[in-house]
Amino acid sequence: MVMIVGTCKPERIISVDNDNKTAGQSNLIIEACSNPSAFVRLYRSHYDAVFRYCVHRLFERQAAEDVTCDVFLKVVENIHCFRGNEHQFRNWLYRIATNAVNNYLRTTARRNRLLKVAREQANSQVADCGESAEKIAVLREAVFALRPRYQTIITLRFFEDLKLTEIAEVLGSSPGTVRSQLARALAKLRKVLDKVSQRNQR
Amino acid sequence: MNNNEKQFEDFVSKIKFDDIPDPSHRDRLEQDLLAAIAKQPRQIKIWRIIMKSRMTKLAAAAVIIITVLFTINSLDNTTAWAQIARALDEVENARIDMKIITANGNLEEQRYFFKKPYFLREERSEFIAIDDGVNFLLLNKRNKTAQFKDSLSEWQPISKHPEFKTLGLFRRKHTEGFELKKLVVESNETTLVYSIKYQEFATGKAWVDAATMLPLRIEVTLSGELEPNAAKEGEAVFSYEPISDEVFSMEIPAGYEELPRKKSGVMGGKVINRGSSIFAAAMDRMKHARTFSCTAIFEVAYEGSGKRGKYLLKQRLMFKEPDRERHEKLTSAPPWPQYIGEVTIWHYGKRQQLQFRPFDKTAEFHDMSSDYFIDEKTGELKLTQLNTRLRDRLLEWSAGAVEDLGRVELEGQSVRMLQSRKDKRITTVWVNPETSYPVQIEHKWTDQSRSPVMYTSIQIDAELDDALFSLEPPEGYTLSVDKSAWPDDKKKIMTKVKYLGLWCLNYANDNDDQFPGELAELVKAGIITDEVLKRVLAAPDEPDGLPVIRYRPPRANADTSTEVILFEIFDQWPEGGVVACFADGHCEIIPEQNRFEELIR
Repeated sequence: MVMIVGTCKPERIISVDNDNKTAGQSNLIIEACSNPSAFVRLYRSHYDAVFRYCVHRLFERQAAEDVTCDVFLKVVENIHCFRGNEHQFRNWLYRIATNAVNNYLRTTARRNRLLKVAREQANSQVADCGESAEKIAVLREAVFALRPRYQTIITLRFFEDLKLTEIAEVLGSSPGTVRSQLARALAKLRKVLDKVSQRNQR
Repeated sequence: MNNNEKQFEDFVSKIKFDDIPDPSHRDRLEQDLLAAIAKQPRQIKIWRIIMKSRMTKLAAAAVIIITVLFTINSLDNTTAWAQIARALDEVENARIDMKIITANGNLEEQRYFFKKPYFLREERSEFIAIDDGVNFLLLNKRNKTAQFKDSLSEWQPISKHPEFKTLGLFRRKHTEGFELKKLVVESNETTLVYSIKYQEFATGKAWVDAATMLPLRIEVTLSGELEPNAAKEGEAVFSYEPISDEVFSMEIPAGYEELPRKKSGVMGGKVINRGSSIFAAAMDRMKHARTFSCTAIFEVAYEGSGKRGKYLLKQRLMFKEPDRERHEKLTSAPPWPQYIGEVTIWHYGKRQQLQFRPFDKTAEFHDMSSDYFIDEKTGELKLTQLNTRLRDRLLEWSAGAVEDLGRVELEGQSVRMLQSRKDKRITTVWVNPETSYPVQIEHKWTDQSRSPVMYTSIQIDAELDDALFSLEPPEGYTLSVDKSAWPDDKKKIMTKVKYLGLWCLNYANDNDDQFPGELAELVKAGIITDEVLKRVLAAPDEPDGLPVIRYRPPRANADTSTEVILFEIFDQWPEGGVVACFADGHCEIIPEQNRFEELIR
């Protein structure tokens, strides 16, 4: 079933599989280790979330699709090692996705390319009719200027709506640490956003 | 949420991301993942099942060694272990005595007794479980209770039992990450010793009987973080002496209270996967069928009489154990309508074959006393026998996941539809829920270049009239006797050359039409083992002797129908000529020396 939610926030499409949003999901994770059709059900119930997270981190569909592939291939390789419930499984997926995105960005060429695209778009889209496109370009440049860990925290908190405790679980850290890192990330982000905005206004 | 956070959230809320997933990407990735799953080592899946299943968790310690064995028997490209696998195939009785040490240092002793085809007894510290193929008895040592239920073989045939399978039925798949080394210093004439390493999960040693290639003892140590009561180290000692039926006695010992019989289909309070049950039962029945018949439908390419194309071949196939087989062609390639209705009957016991065609009412009788085939497991040359390959393949195809797609109507009958996937193949089985017999099986491939194959009108254990297998031609038919029979020694060499040629063609198919540079490459490619190659190359009456067949790779751009790739070695030109195989796969006896020399010039 597809459900469209959100009025104050931009429209998001969340894939909700009724069968999987029950206590049976934990069993599904167990079954998925040995039963490909169960794995497919599990995959389908999490694909959208992983893809969205990747898009929000990378700001590029193609790159996000590539990284989503990497994430689920990692899941295939390692699902037998996973122990936990549905909630923990989702956090585990975010952890894998975070590593995959960071690996993707680590390649300097890729990072530079994405930054270059961000800068070009930020400059060219100032007068663009699409407010979102402009904001995205500015945001992309600003987010890419942050450390990967801060990027992760920002994305999980503001795009994936995770609580601090959940972000802490994903990052294997304490909620207190995440809170202080979030504050630092936001402060830095604000500075960069202001700088980019000023440059664009000139 | 502080002010900074609120501001940023407000900023983000006004952004419309292009983050709607593309269903086509999702579907493509799904296929890639299924392919990746198919390549995953089976051991990992089993380990996961062991650790997560409530029932088998108790047995985790015992099964750990078996799990590693599973990996061992998956090795196709390791000759020694392929030998072990083959030796174990022959095992009828096995007893395994295990000592397990858990991560917290506790010692657990366990025993397994296996006796084909049904019997199983497992002894653990907490319980004894006995299965005789009809009933399953669980003796709870702690509570002193005994409880019967239906044999587990109904949903998990004993032949599919992980432990039993380890001893007899092997999945010969390559397993990445498995390392096996023969320890030359520790090995001697009677016992071979191997070190075992499986990725980061396990290390160990195996002692193998050099004569039978059966494991005598296996020690395994698991690495990594383990739960306190999980198995950490294990030792299994194997013996293969006949086991008395008394071991599998269903008598409840004195002092045990018998509980009401447990409902079938319920294990540990959880309803078992009935789809899987029916599928497994269906496949098990196929295996033990005494008669089998079906109509096979698949697309075939044809070329000849100046025409080429594809047509749908329909064949009615049937056999009656132990030695009778019949094929009837229901369709034929358009240029050759005379083959429609052609029937071939084999009587392996009498070593006779009859073929007759309704088109021209002719029948031909063939003497099969010199019809041979190569046992691809051992390389032995054997007389042809009843071909149950289709049934065996169905069993092989049954491996993999099973999904119950529910009830559907098939030719007015309510049947259950089940599906399994393996690599790129999707197998759909229509099962009669009353009998658990499959009535139709279809294979489709996710790779669009392959055509589907359908087996329909499947009948198992149905009455097949002996008249269907009669070697008497129908009335009014003109009978002739095939006089083209070659001498027995030539037929034997021909069979060997034919198989070698076939393997070379298989190699070429997988390697961009490049034939192997030398036959050893067939071994490297995993098509055959070194032993099989040696045996097939040797003279029929001297299986351990020197090669009597020579291979030469085909020259580039040569005409495949005249390019000899394999031929009999000779000192003097043999009286009956020389057997040769050509690059297009056909074999001939070349009677004239001049022609032969011209061909291999």
